[in-house]
Amino acid sequence: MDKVLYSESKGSVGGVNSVLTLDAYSGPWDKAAISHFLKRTTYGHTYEQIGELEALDHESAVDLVLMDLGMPDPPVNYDQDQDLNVPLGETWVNVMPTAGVNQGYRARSMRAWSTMVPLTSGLSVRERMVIFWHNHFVTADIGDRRLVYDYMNLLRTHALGNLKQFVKDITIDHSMLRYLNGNQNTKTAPNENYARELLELFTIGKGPLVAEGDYTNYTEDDIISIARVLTGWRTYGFNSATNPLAVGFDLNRHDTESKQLSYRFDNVVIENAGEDEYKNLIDIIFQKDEVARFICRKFYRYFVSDDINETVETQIINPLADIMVENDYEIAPTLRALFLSDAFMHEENRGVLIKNPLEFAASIVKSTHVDVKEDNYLANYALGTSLFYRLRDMQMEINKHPSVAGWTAYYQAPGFTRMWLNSASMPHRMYLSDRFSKYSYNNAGNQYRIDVLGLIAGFSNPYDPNILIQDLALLFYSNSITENQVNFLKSVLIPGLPDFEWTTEYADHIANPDDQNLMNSVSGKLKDLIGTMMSLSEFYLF
Amino acid sequence: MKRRKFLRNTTAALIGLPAALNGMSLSPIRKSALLDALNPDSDRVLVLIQMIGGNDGLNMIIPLDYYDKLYNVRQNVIIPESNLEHFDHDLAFHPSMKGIRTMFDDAKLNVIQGVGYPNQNRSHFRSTDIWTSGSPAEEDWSTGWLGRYLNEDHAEFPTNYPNNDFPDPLAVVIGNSISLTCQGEVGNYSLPLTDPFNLGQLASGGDDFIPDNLYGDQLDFVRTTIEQTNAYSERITEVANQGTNTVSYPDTGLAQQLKTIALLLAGGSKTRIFVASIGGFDTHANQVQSGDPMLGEHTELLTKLSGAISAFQKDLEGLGIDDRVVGMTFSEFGRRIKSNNSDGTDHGSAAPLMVFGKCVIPGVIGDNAEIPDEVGTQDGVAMQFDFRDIYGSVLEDWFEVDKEIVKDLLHADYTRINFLNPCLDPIPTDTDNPLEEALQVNLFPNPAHHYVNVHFESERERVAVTLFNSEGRLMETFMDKNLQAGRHEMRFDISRYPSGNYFIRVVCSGLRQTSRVFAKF
Repeated sequence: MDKVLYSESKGSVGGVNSVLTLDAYSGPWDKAAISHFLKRTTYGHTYEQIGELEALDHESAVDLVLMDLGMPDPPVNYDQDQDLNVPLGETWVNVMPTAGVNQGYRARSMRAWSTMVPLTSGLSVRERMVIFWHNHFVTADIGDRRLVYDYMNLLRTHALGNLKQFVKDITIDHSMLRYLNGNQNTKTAPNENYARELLELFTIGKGPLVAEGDYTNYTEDDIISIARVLTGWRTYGFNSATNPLAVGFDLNRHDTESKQLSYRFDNVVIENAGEDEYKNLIDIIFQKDEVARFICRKFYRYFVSDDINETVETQIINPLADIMVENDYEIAPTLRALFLSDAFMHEENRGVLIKNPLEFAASIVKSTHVDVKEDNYLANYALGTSLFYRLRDMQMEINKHPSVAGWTAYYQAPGFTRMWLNSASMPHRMYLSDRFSKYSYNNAGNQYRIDVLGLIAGFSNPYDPNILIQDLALLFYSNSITENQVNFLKSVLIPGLPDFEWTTEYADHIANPDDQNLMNSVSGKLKDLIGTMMSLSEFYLF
Repeated sequence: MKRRKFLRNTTAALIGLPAALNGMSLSPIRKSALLDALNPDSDRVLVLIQMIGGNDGLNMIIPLDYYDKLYNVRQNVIIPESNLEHFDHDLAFHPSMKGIRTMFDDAKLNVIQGVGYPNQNRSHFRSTDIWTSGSPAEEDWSTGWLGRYLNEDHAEFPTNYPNNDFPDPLAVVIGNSISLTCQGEVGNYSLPLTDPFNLGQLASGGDDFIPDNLYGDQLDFVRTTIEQTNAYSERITEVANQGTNTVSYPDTGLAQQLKTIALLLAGGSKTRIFVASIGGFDTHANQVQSGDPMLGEHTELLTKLSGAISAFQKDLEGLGIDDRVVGMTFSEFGRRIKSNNSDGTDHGSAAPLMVFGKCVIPGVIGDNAEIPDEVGTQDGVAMQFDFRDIYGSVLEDWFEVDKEIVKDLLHADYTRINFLNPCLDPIPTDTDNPLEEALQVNLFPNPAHHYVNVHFESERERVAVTLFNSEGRLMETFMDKNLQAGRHEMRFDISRYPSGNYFIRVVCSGLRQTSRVFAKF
């Protein structure tokens, strides 16, 4: 029952794709290719963005999404007036908890913010990488939300940066020290919790058990030694109204003896280096190229397909890992090679992943320009809190993974992303798409819905129902739909009527924009169409 | 749709069946060997009742032989002795549990004392994960114990479910979210349900040709999931419409949950696993009303628990299906022996667990929680029974799972505990539980200063002797090996441990005994 992080080809499914490689994609850079590219690299891309990228070539588009974004404004207090140190609309991230004031408002603020930042992010892969790392370096909301913010900040800072430095920083991150008991790890009572996950989940990964205590990439004894290397770190000021948050190194708690690693790490001996010792340790772990392979497999599963077999391993994972090593574990050049590759872009890998709840929500809300009232923090945060709980109902709770291994969809073979969908989560997904498309999503006195007429106004030819449906399919789906499906969708838009009736009605509305009744009937038809398109199975894939 | 079925069959033929079963943690060989081991015709039902928050077992089932010592360390929360529901020779229920007490008197209840696991974790989340997955405390398992059981027969789920043989969800959770107990390797077997009369149908339509590639497979999966969700919804409403309850239930959350379960069973549901829950047991403060331990949160909780379970049992009897259903409670941990200053109790260790129904072997298993003279602030109740042995016994005795499979699903050292019979009539006479006295454990000196001597008797078999501290942490395995039959005298060095209460546990096939020793240096 070990966490399975690498498994053979799943074998439970029928389709077998041809062999794809890391060589540069040479197929057409057309609307379908661009839409796929944007689906996999951003949250909720728009029809207009497809047009923007048509003006670029593939390589420039990759460079564009790899450009870092500025940091989002920190979360603010939006719903309580008891904390005199944090007025409404102000951030609390650097303010100590006020004695006697319930800090729940910070939790709500953090949840809303964590949900809305990706749902309002720009044309960049950064936010998708933040969730990737959030699922990789798992911690939880352990009670003091300043730490949650600091941790999220760390993820954003390093999202496209250097993995080696990232691991060093996360190792002594306050929430991580608390979450995996690094702050209780002392020379007299070593705690192996972090050491174990550092190897198994964060860097090199657990290989097959080949002898007692030997997991191919490391041994049980390595965990013991590494735990000793990491002794001495402490945390201060948790939830304190008087003492500032701090992470410190206490030499008295540090094991100053030499630590010997196993033959899996070439029997290297780590000498005492006090508070710098963890850096030496991480440099040693990163000497092993298996780290790059382990991370690249996770990139592949997240961005390309969860079907990793021996061929994928040789043709894609190994060369991609080589690139990562050559670039001294810089993340951006590694992703660049992946995003440029045939494997990433190829038609056979389009639509083979199931959207996670956040990706799903983004494709409902963000791809369709729903006005989430970004300029009104009260409404925006209330909506964010509400959507946070929708994500939880769909089984993706931010800052609370089922376990330190992350969401099962990213490691549990053979189902992988199929883990997101079941009879429990499905009604919540349908509810969300129905509310935003057919009805309205009501929250805190506001109604949120897709402006269906505004959405199609920028399409190539909204007067032709066939082209209208194809454009929506381009935006919502990963692959083209069949003639039968187009006809089915037309029967939803214009039941029992010939195509030109849509052309007439829509033209009528454009010519008479002030005719409210006409507008309602045209938009009513569009809501039916878009709602139906969002309820098709195709919409769940990307 | 036909295209899809055709594809699936071709797939199986191309790849071959062993490959289709591969990727599971169990080897295909063993797996196929045990497909016959499960009884497909069984209609037995298990109802799990999760008491969320960590129930104070010492306030639910009170060891009267230690009442005075208990009184000394939890005066502010303990119920006055005269108010207790004395039910066994030295045990009493909380006074709010009259319904459960009647069930005990009617031979429909078994109380297992001191249930927990080695190295008790006192985090709610972590300990709940341990209880739901059935993992050792040190390991993080991503599947649930019932999920693994269901996986034995339903490895392909959710593909081709529901079907004629299994028209109902394999497990139903009354509530909003799936239960981790039912997490399988591919998906979760449980369907959450709040109101069986208010289940919507998900939109469908517009499905067409599915291409023969990975995209097509995923598309097929999503379509299947939508169809399945709709089929289950329809079936549940149909079943609920055919059922009727025979008694009225209290107006509490848990009672209404159990009422829904009885209704579904009455209507012909073939679901065999149900999970209900009641929250609020994390009674750090106001476990009792200040100054009146008869009132307060724990009293309310136990009133709800007892009222709901006894109404459910009566309903099952009224419906004539009480020989098909057993219920079992569990909670992530018990609470500490010493109360705190907020009229509450903090996270502890082991606690009693209740199994109810017509088919339980009535009685009490295990010794009363031992309360030492000196109780440390951190001390919890010692573990006598590993919860995985309880789970395993349910699987073996109720769901008729082969013992070797049970070991595979839970733990290699699984030992059956005798608290269920298959409702054979009349109840066999040899229903006595293997008596702990059979081990004849003798432990001295006590208090111990340097060494502790452990004397016991065993057959020619494997015996393990382990040391636990008062928080339930496994400190040391003194011995775990095969012994000759006879009386054994052993001496163990405990001088390197700090002074305090410890428990020495002797286990051999089917027998176990936990004895307290006070170490004083």
